[in-house]
Amino acid sequence: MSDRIYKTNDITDEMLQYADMYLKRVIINAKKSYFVQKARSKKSGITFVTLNENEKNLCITEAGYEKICCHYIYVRNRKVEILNTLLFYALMSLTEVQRTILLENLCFGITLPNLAKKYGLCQRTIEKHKHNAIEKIRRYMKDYGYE
Amino acid sequence: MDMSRKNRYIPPADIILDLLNEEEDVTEAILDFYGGYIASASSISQHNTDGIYEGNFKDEDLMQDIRVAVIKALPPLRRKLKQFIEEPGALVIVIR
Repeated sequence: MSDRIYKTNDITDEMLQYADMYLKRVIINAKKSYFVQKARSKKSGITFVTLNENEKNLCITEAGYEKICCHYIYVRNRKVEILNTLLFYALMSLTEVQRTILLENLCFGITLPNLAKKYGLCQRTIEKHKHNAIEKIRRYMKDYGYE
Repeated sequence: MDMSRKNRYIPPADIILDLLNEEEDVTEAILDFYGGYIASASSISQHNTDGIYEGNFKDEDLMQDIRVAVIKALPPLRRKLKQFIEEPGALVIVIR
C-alpha cells in the first residue's frame, strides 16, 4: 500500500457503510466473546478475591478442627469424610443408588464400566444415575446460595 | 416505523478520512461516535433470584473489552478501506 494522503472525494458511501458494519460487528463479537470467557471461568470455578479480606478464612489453626467438624457417610462399609456440611446434606438428599454410585466412582475410583458390571446394570444407566446425582447436588447447593 | 433510521447513523466521512490518513485523534473520534452503541451493548438486564426483572446496569468490564476490541480492529479496517480505494471492486460485503 502507498503512503499517499487521501482526500474527501476518495470516500464513497459504500466505504462508510462497510466501516459502520465492520465496527458494529466487532462490537457484537466482543460482547459474545466476553460472555463466553465469563461462562468458561465460572465453569472451571475460578474466582478472584482480595487476599487481605479473605486471609483469615484460608486456614484453621486449631489442630484436629477439621476432623471434628467433618461428617461421615458409609458406602459399602467404607467411611467417606465430607468436610463441607452443605455438601453432606446435599449427598444425603440423594437416593441410596445415586449416592453409592457417585461416591464409589469419585472417592474410590471405580470406573463406570466396572460399576455397571458390579451392579448388573447397563453402563448408560450408571452414567445417568451419576449425572442425576451431580445435577441434584448442584441444585441443592445453589438453593442454599453456594456458587 | 421508520426503518431508514437504521442506515442514517453511519460514521461521518471526515472520521474515515482521518482513519485512512492515520491521524492521531481518530481512535477517540471513533470511540466517541460509537459511544452510545457501546454503552447500549454493555448494558445488561438484571434479575433477582426469583427471576423478577430489576433493571439494567452497565457492565464496566464489558465496556472496556469492547473499546479495546474496537481499537484493535482499526488497523485491519484501515487496510481494507485502502484496498478498496486502490483496487476498486476488491471489497466484498458478506451479509449473513
